[in-house]
Amino acid sequence: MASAFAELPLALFSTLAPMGAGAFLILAILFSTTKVDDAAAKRIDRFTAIPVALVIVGFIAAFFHLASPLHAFGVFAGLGSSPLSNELAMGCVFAVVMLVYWIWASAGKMSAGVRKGLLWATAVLGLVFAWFTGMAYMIDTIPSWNTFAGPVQMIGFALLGGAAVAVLVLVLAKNSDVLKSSPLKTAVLIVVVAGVVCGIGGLAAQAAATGGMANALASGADLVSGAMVVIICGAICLVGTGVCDAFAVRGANAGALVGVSSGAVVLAVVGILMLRLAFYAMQLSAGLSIM
Amino acid sequence: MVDAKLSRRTFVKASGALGALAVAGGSAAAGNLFGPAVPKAHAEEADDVIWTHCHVNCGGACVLQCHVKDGEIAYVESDNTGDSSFGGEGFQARACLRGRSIRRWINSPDRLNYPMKRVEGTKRGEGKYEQISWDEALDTIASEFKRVKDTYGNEAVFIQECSGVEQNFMMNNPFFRLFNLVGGEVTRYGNYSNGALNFGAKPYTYGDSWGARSFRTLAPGELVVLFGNSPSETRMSGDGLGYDLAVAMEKKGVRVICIDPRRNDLATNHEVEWIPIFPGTDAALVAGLAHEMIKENLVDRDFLHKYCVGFDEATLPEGAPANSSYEAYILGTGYDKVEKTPAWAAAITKIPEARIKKLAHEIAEAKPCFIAQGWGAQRHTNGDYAARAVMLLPQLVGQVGLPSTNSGMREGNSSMDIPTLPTGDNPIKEKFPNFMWPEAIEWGEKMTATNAGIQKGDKLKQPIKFLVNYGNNMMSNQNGDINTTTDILRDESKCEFILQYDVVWSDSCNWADIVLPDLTPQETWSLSASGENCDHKGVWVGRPTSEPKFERREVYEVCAELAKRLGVEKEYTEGKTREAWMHELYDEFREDNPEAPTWDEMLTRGIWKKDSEPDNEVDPYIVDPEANPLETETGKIQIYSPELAKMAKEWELPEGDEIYPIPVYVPGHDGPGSETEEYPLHLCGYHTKAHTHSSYANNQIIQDAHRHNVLINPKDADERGIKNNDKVRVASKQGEVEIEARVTKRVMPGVVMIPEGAWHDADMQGDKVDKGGCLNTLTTRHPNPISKQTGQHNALVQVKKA
Amino acid sequence: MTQYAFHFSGSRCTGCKTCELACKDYHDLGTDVAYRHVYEYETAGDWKADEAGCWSVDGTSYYVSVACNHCDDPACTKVCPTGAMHKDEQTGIVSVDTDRCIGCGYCHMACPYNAPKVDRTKGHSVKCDGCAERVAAGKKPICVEACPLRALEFAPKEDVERNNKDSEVADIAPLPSKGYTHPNLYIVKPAGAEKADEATGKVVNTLEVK
Repeated sequence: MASAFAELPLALFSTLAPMGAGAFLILAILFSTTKVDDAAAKRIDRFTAIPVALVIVGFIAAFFHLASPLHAFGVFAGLGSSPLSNELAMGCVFAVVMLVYWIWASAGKMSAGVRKGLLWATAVLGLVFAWFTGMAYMIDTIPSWNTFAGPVQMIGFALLGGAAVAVLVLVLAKNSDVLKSSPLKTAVLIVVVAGVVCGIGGLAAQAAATGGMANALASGADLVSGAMVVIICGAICLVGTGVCDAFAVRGANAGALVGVSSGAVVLAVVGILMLRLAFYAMQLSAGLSIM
Repeated sequence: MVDAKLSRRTFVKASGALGALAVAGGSAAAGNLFGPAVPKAHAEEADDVIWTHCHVNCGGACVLQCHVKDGEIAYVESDNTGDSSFGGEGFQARACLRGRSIRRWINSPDRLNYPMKRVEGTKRGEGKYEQISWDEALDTIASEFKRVKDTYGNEAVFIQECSGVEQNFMMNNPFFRLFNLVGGEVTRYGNYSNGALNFGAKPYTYGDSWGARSFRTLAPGELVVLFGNSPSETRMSGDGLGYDLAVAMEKKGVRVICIDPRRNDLATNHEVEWIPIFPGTDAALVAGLAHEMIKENLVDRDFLHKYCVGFDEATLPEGAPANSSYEAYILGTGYDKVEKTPAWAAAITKIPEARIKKLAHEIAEAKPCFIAQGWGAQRHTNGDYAARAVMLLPQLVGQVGLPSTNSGMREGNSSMDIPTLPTGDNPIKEKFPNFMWPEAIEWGEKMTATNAGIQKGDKLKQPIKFLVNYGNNMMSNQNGDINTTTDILRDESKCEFILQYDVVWSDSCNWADIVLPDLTPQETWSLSASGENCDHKGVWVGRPTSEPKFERREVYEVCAELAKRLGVEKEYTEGKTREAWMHELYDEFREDNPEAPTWDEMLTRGIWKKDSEPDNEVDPYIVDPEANPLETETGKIQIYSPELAKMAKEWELPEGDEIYPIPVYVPGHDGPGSETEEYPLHLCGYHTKAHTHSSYANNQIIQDAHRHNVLINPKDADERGIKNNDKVRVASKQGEVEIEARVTKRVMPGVVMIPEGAWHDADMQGDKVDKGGCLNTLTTRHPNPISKQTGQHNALVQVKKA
Repeated sequence: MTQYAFHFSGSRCTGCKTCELACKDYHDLGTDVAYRHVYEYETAGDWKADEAGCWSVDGTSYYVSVACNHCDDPACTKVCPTGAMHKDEQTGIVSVDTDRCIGCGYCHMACPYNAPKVDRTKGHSVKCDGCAERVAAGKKPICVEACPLRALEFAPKEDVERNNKDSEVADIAPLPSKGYTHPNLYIVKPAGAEKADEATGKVVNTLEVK
């Protein structure tokens, strides 16, 4: 497990960026289902800086993972063939659309139709980006990673973490009452449950498969048992995120809302980071690759 | 005053600084394919290619072509001259990983740069040293020498062996040459490698090195049986015996059986059968084999009657009592009156009875059969007997002295003879067994021929008072039981002056009064034959790869300075420099080898090789034993030695030690069967590839490739909760080490193995726990009964998780 | 195109690691990076005592020396986002274009032969390039010339095949099955070698092959 900490920058990237990306799904649902007045929209746009910042910080962390960040402009050369190029290309498209939306919206001259369109584009691209992030690890010479359980986890983290971030944005933007409105409340609950199921379920499925693998250097069972404490703690955090957000949408009083929704985000960051580290700890090569 | 560990280490320019030398593109053969964009290695196109060689005591002497850039070795190539094919004509003295890492060793942070003296008021072993001038160092050594000579006589002066610079025309000869000019010095016999075999077994069996043949003489399909012998590890060079055996296996279909407590590297990868044997029980295995051969009428009685004495009652020498033959011992009619059946041997050796019986038939039916022992079996407190017993095996089946057979000793070799620096005559004749130099310090004046094996005299006249250690790490690394040895050294009233002269600050330096910084053999002029334990003939001439750095000085010149102070400079140098001696000795060599290149040619070509065929004729003794007697008392092969029978009566032995005229099985001190609850495991040493004895053991790049660890069987590891790579403590009655565990099926249950040579690293003022994992922290000072030589590679130990 | 290939005589290797150390000397590598590794592999097996307490053991141990196999279908080039890790069209040698490499480590993760590493000080991936400059100059790679047992060769694939009629493309434990990358590594199997997809054992010198 200790060797997984060498991948901390990547783990941070794959924790923060999908969380930021996922938040736009809830925002898209909000603006599609609920009438939001201009003042409220303005406040929401201001606090949308949080998911935007998460995405940017995530990308910066990834940058630090590189031994030669200055060469990074060349990463698209492998588009189509290298899953990493695909992931980063997708990430860039998403980030550009996200930034266009946020800057435009913050400038205050966005029609409701454009807002809805751009938000949905951002949300969908964000989820595709999360999926591609998972796909980047599907390398046939690393059987323990070469499973769709990986991208499913990433979708789960984006949904759950994104919902938590979006709830916090709405709470901070003093729009928490919309959370209690039926379509959004239902949407948040569905997204949160889907996130917990995909995130924890995906990782559990992967751990179960890894447990049955071995190469000449290590046994998957040893890797899984080495990461088990981290997996359990991470999963508890993620369930905690879901519970906090359920409280937030189902009648936490105004005073507790900030605490509960911030707690949900912190738990999500910690929980997803732990499961990401566990993911890296479960790298089992078809041959002799050593982390 | 400074801590020696810091002050003496002047860190040399990191080799990585050579990293970015830009050069022009390659052009030859495959150049067109590769185009102009081929990246360059870190130091292609060096200023100069300097031929030199590796000089340590592995038995090889491998060629190094040093590519030098700005006075630093950028990288090395080895011998790439002549035919490079596997088993082809000629040979290539290709260096092993140690020689290949020479520049990291030469640039080691452990290098000695200045003369140092122990800080006044500190004790030996504290490790506090201060830099002094060469004049002060040389004056002190000369005045101490004179004082000791005047007080105790030259009999109190001793020069230790120089394992670190063994393959060389110079070695430590300058010290002998110097001291022999001023009254001489007491000397040693034997060594840590094969003392028991050569002084406890050979003289009483064959008299001399007789009947040994090299692996190059092996016949197609022949059976080779090896005891405690892994030429793949101990003879590793490209012209080494390991290579010769590999060629014989592949090209001639030779079949090899390895008898060893460890699956050694000959028994990996190759189609070699490994028979695991409990350490120290080789003589019991031979007895069991002999029993089966006698019962099944497989012994060659004609051979035994014609060439040997003492196999059966009919050939016992005059004066030998009845039932003292080897056959009487085997059949239970003599000695301990126990019949040495294969079942008896199985219980001791832990080799299944059926395998012993089968092996007896295999050996007896193979013609020819090549039986050899390495030096593993005899590095045990019963090594005298183990060595003699294995030598007996080929005699039983008449497979010695004939083509493609061996004597049962180490396989043969044959290198080039080159002259070394003449040392003159030593007026002092007494010699003591090498292993017992600490005892020669402690009670030397009481050491006699019958209590300590003193030779060329009845007793030593003085204990050692003036000790010269040149190019060795004997004091606290390579001799048995470091804790006891250093207790003797710590007392300055015993050995009054200790000089350590080396290229690196080994742990032994911490026990010296004066420490001198040497040049590595690659930094000075050198002349060497191809490896002494190889079977190919060559001569190498080495030029210095750089100017001397810091205040390092080579030994011939330093002894000349001492000679000046002792008033014998003219006699010592005869007006010659090191280079001039080398030139003269090379010309002397050329008188016997007129086809060799001239000196001037050798200076540029560096090496010269000569074709040779190994001797594989029927031995003259076999052709006519009467006309060509062996150098034993009876003139025959002695299974029963009248010399040993006499010694058994006359020698004073420590309790538990016994001398027998025949190669019986005795468990030895701390041998099989003596396990206790406190120390239930048997420790056994072996030779690793990461260093030659302690040479190169500080070269981290090699140690990372072959980590120092204790081999432990999964059964023993599981019982102790030990997993592969865990840190463990290994403790014996003598001391304790901390070391990494290698949990492996390559070592048999009940046995743990640690390679010798790792650098001792303990707080000798404190708990003495050795974090370096040196084998000799655990081993004993108990010598073999006959040879009085090294028996120390066995000890009883316990292992626990650290 | 000429595809270069390594040949490893597993029945000669003694596990000495001269190949690895000669490579480190020539390429000036420290203790943390190696372009060539020697794996010590132990098959499954057990020590069994008979009624008399005598031991027998089944299974075996063997060494395998591996660098980059300049594969036909390299895992490293496939995942490389920049194209810095590339297979030369003329020689088939896989090497790093250090001006393009970002040091992301994907090649290291993906290669099942543990060949490329990221050297963070140098800022890019590093690996065996078959000593291209020596081969271009008509010499052998330094590891090949170093092996005391002459267990290594490096030559155009056709020559390796022609000179070693009994050799096979490497498909033994502890290496991965050859199907993953189609390595240009031909071997004579060590005694007792297990097929890659029927491996029962473990590499025991894990700390020596980082």
